[in-house]
Amino acid sequence: MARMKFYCDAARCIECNGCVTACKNENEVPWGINRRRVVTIKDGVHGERSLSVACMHCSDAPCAAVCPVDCFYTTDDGVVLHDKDICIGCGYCFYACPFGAPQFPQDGAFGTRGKMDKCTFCAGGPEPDGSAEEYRKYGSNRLAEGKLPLCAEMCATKALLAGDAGVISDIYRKRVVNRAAASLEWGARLQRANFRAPDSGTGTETRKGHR
Amino acid sequence: MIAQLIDGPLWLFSAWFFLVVALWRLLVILFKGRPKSLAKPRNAPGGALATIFRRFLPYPEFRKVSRVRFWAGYAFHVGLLALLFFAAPHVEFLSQRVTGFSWPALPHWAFEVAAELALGGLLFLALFRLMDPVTRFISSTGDHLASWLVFLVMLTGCFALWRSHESLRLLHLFLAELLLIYFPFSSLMHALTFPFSRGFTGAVYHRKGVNI
Amino acid sequence: MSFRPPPCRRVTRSGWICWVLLAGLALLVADLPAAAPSHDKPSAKVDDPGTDLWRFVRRRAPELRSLAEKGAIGPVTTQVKGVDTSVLINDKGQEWRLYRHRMLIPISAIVLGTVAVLLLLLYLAVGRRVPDPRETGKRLLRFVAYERTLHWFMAAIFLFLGVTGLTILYGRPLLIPLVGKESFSAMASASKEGHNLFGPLFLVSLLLFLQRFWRRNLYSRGDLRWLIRLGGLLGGDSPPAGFFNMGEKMLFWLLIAVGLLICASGLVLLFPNFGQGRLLMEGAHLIHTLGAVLLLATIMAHIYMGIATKGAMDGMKGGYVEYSWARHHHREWADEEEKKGRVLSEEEVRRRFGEARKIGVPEREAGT
Repeated sequence: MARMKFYCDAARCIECNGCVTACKNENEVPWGINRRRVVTIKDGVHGERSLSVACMHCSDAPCAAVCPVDCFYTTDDGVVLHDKDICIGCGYCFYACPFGAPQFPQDGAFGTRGKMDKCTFCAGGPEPDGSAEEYRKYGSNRLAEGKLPLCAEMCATKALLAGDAGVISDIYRKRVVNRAAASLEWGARLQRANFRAPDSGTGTETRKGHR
Repeated sequence: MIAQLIDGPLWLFSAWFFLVVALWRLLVILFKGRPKSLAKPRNAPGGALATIFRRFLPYPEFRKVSRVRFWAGYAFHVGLLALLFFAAPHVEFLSQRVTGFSWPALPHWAFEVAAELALGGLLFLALFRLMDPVTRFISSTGDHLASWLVFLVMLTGCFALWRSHESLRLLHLFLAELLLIYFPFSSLMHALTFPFSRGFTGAVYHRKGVNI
Repeated sequence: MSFRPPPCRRVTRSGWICWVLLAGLALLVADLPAAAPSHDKPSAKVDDPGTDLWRFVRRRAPELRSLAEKGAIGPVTTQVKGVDTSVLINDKGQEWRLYRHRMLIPISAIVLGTVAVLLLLLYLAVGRRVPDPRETGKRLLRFVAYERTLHWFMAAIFLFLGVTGLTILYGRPLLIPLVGKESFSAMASASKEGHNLFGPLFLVSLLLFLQRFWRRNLYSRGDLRWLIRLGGLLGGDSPPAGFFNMGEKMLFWLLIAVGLLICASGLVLLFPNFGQGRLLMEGAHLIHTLGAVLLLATIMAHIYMGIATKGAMDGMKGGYVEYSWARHHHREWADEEEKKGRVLSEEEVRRRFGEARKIGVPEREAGT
């Protein structure tokens, strides 16, 4: 049984937003909704890093826990999906989710929420796999076709990885080993440097040897 | 099964029933004509039209005392009319099932404002009808039934907002069909007869020289 | 105060009702863990590099944000437009989740359930209190039609909001097992839309209430004495009070203050399109729910008093109260009205209500 995960390698992400575009196109996402977004820290200064964020398909998903109508379910692949026929658009999942994954279509100036929309790991919804109804509500179901999410498949620098947690861990581990060999240092720091508290100073400078 | 009944035959029946009976009642009223007045005419014929419009405002004597009912009444009636004919789902429904052509609908925010006005106004007026000794005295059971039925139709309509659940839409439609069937027998007919009653009063009293 | 002992048969039946309620409450509390996510998928330790990365992100995110705001480092940006899109991680969501599931749902169930059961027990034990059994046959006009309408207008809206709100709050542990997900989804959707539409009307009714009643609810002399003696609850005669006693005044100002808070926080939640972030909405939800539970418990007591005190509801039904009731509960007001000559006979009141058709069209009440 696979456990599907995304991983974004911040050392590789070049903030091209290719994943965002690929997702929007593949899934015909409604206006005003982006299931995936790229966030850049230290934009334009030394130590800039970007991360592509979408639903992380949590094992203990907060959205599923707080949903008042219990519309979420986890597939055998560990993908967190929801049923739009049950969803009432209350917005609680948006409050609870740490990653800001749930999105809501809004109409005009009176911002009543429509039904929630979020990344499906390109796995569709509860309707029969590949049906037109499923595509209309949730976008494409690439997983059923044996393909991985398009955002990761399209990633030019292969920063965004999607797949079974074990597999992407192995890929990442190899990268880290290579980087460590190159910089003669524990390469994970490259990855973590900018999200970790600095040992000293204000965080404006990165430590030597981290570039 | 029930869904098909509500969405199909019952809708057709109630719509035709409403049309035929309401039209029949109107025709009866029209063909009755005016009783012959024996009074000496003090004015040239006319005065009906003026009264029809003058009655949109309360008498000056009652303006202060009926202030709340005036505003609640207008909120309800204007809101309801806007909802009935210009709410997007209604425009879609009516254009597909009744007219065959479409017309511009209200934006969603105006739809909701209209719903607030209509719901608030009607709830207030229906309760006032129960609470005020005068309106309670002159209201029949049918009047109370009519106002609460309209309220229920509007309430289920707001439940069915966004057409998220077919069952809620059907509930709204079902109550609307009941209302259509009840409409011609109730005081709700005033929606169609008010120009005649006002015009009649206006014409009769204008002839007698009373400016009413 | 005369207590009417309830007949035996009623006690057994009512005891049964209480047991059902208590059992329901126990079931509710026992069922609450079901609201927490069920781990039907094995939460095996998966070797996920993302765990470490996001742990660092979470630890550093607030610091990075404040540094970016100070301009010490470059800004945190994203090209995706929307609310909070440049926030990498929001760990307040977890706190909100814990608040809703560990505190709000169980504690509000216990509070509301306990208040309801206690009031019911009190009602069954004491029955309807008759403050002054003497029927004088004299009546006083307490509330004119507009005020009564306003009261029931607000009451209807409040009850509707309470029912729809509690449906959304307790529906998942209580109603989904009964009616299934699909039916409950329709119920919850109706509740949500109804709650959203009637919320602003509650604000309107609250403001109309404030405008109509604020003056009569100002503190006046003797109110403190009334409060110290708890309105005669400790025994002895009811302390004298004006048009409203201190209890009613406290209810009024609590309703206005908490009601306005609920409305303000509700509007924050109702219009998610003005760019308010999740933090504000989570806080608004906190205030909204705390206020709602407080008001619901208070209004339960208000309803109890209206039903349990004989004669108290009359003022809100027909507008006229029995003179002995007024003397007992609002002595100063009753004496004042008497001085003004506004005490009416029962026949006069009946005539005004036009109960007998032969009397003809009734006169309008004064001051409507």
